[in-house]
Amino acid sequence: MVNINIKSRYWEYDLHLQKRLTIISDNSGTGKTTFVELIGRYANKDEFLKCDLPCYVLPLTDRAGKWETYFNEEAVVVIDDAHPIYDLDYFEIFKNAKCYIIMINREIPALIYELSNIYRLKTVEGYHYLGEVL
Amino acid sequence: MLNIWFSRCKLAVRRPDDTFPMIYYREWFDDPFVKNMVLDVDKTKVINYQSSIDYLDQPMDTLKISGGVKSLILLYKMPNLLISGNSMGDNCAKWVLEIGKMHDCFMTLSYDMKFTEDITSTEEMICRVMNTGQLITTFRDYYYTYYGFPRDKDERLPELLDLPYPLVREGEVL
Repeated sequence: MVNINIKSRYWEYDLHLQKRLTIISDNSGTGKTTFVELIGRYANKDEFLKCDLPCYVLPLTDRAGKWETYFNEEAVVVIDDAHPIYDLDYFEIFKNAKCYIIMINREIPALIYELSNIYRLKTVEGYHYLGEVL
Repeated sequence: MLNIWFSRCKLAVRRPDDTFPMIYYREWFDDPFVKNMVLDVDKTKVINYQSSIDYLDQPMDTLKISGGVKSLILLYKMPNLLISGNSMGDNCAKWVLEIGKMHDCFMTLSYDMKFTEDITSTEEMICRVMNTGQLITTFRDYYYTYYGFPRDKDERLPELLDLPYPLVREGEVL
């Protein structure tokens, strides 16, 4: 299991990843994109971002070949809106990945249901955590 | 009327966070309808195009509103754009229907957005399925069509269809 924690005075993100593939799917305005931005900004700053593994945000403008370097590393990779990956052979990519993947998406193909845990992002007074499994 | 394309489409505005800041007008945030949408979906109170107050009573840049609301504003203010419905959550559904009642608008959808709690409801919901041209009149009709649609096989672009409306490409300003 991998834990990720980012905390400021007014809000906190506290995520515990059980499986290699975690999907967050929720309403608009619950803080999903903010989480991706925070990971991107504080990836190299250990004093703010606490995680056992290095964290990256997958740059979706890259060609598919470059993505493999992210997926073959022992790390946490965050993907915001994975539609370019759905255009590829996504089942093989997710099955063979060595990293922990957090994917933020609403469209979830039936093939990757068994590989993943699907959560809602719950928020209580600025404290964000992974809520019930859908 | 609301027009829905039941599949993914590369022509659609799929990343509103990238597209919206390039094509928006500042006056859009003076519109009470837009202010109501942002308040309902994001719990954020818009003051003007620069500043807002978020749900924690913190000051916030208005352009930091969620991607779902950005898509809704584009759907409302730029009806000729094709918007990806996957960027909108279930809490945007009632506003999509509201905008559909005002004027023609176009969106793609490849997840089962909750337009209603009861999917067998026979209440009125008027929209057109762009893939087949079928006119839908009730919620029950909609979900019957959505779940029966072979979305993975059908990847044609709306351009190939004979639509009575012009479809403007992403980034093109009206």
